[in-house]
Amino acid sequence: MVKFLVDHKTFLNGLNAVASALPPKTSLPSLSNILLETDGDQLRLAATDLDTTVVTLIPATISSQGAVALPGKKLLEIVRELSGSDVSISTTGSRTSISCEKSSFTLPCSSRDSYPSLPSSVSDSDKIGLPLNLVNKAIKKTAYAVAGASEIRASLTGLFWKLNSESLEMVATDGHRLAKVKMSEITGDSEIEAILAPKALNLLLKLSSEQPVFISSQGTQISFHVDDTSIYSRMIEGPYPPYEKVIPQGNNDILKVNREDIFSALKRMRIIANPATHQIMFTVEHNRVILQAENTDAGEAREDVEATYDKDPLQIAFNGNLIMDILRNMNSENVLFHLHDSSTAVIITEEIQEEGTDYLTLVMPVRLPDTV
Amino acid sequence: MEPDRRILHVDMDAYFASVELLGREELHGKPVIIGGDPGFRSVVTSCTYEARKFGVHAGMPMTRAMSLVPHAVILSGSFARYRTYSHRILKVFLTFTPKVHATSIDEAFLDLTGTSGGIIDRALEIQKAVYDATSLWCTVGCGPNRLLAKMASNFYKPRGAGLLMPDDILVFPVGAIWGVGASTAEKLGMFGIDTIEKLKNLPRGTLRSILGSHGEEIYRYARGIDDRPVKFFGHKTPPKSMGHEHTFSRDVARPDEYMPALAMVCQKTGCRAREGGWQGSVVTLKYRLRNMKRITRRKILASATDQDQTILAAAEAMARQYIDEPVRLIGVSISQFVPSKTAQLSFFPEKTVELNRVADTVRNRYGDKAMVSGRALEYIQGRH
Repeated sequence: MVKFLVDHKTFLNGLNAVASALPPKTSLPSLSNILLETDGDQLRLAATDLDTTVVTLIPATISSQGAVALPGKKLLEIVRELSGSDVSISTTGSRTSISCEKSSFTLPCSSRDSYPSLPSSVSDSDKIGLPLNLVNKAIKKTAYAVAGASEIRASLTGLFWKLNSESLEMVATDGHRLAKVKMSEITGDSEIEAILAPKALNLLLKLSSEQPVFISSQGTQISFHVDDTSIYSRMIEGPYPPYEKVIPQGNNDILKVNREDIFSALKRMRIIANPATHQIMFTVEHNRVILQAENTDAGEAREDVEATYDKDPLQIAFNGNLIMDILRNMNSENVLFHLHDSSTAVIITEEIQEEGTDYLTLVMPVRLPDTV
Repeated sequence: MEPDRRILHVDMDAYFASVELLGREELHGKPVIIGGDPGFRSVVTSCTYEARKFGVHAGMPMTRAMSLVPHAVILSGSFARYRTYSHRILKVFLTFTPKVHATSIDEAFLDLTGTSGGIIDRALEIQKAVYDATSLWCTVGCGPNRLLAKMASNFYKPRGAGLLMPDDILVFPVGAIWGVGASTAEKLGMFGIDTIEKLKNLPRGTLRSILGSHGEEIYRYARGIDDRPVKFFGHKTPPKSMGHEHTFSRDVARPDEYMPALAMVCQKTGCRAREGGWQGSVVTLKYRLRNMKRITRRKILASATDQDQTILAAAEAMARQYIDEPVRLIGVSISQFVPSKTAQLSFFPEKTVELNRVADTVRNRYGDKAMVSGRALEYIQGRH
């Protein structure tokens, strides 16, 4: 029998941190639970989908030591709605009661044995400390480009992470677009190269702290530690595709355009574009780019966007959504399209890079019918 | 009055008969009927206007036509020639607009919206251009949409050109509307509705209760409303799905038993997709159990494909996950197509593209089974 008292707000924050690791649907019922386990004068909360595990420690007043697994979503829902300062939890047999002020709930629960064992904790000497806000910035600039879960090549569903004494490089690609960021302000004494599951990194994005994030890798597992919260993630099996080779070197025709102008024009073109291909044609001419979309069932759309360009005119078509994803994750007022021809990948960069950040994105065009 | 949209419907005059008459001056002015031997229950394919005067029309039994015009000249058709001329005519249309939609061998819609000049002048130009290229006459109906253009070509036939606007058709009989056939006209006739004007005065609900869901369309047509676009020439509507299946001579449950057949149906599906110029992004595995129950499983791919190997990888993963009892049939299909000629290019293209291109060439010359993947080898060796 386990019994403890915990501050409402602390408890809710802890649950929020771990609940994102709950699998959306699972064939193993125990994985929809959150584990609550006492540890001295602290309470350990944990959730896992077996690939990614989040564990956090919060202070609690323990009356009786032990552990219990409770239905995760229900527990979070209840605690979110409670009003009061202290939440008391006690388990008798297979029932757990949760009470706060005048409210009380009873939930079915399972024993500790029914829950998977947690990854063993990492000794501090094996951890590398990195600035959390910068790591999160790198994640935000790349994570959108990973392939969806339906991708057959598993390595593309993850983010490539390369940390060494010079920089942290993160790369994501789904084969059609690629985002790569290199941050020279983040360095590590020991090198870590790994393909990371986006789920673990999205969990990391939710954590905010003045403290650094400590990182360590053991075998096929990588872990991130921020304050009292730890994220353990299984690395995705490589090798990661040779991304450096696909970045073209001869793209010397630069189109400079206001980021918001082109973004909002693309948004308008998208209304008409073919809903299966999202194809938008770019006609690049002297100091302007003409965007065009057409769909025999929906009609046609066209917009002239002011730009800076003094090279040969070029026609090139893209999936508009891929370009919009890229522009959405940039900050600079103007963006540069580095062009070559209508079937070569286009490099898109920010006109003014943030200091210490080397950010490059790449997108493959859509084949034009008359180029075959 | 010039319509906003300028839609033309070009209908060749007595097309088959006119093609047959080309170069046969002696038949001009005579009733000529194109059709098969009257002894073999054949019907009239086409006939000249001279024969039509006697009441002959396409679709009529030849024996009946013969009794109406005993002195008519009977010719059997040469379809290849009709097609050749049809291509020639299409080329003429394409010099006026890229939006040409041929609805059959002898008629097409043209969208001239945005062009200058009077619409009738344009129609006459097209008529002349077709005549110059083929010595064949056509009628060009003009309207603000496909419905009225088609009604106009019917109205101004033969060798005519003219425009119909919504108000012009009010005096027409209901049967002149596209989609109002004999049975619909009869139903409307029972309510005393014989002209489009009377039809237009019917409330929407009444029309729907007389004609069902078809009434909704007729309600719009009676007002001369029709939004259907004229698509660009060469526009292909993607197929819903394409696939193949295989029935086993005895029920099988193990992967080593069903994989050769699955590999073969994936190969056939990939070949068809490449031939049609489509790439699909959903792979569906279907199988039938002993009790005839049909089960389908779908997998959405990260990007559209026309490669056998990619289709097989998805199908195999589903088969291994779901098939756990004997099956009598296995099949695969792909759907959600995009045209491959405008495919999204990739940094890491599928490695099998070149391989399949070569294999297709071999198969086109020596047959489906001339070159197969190792996984389908057992299938062609006839062990299944």
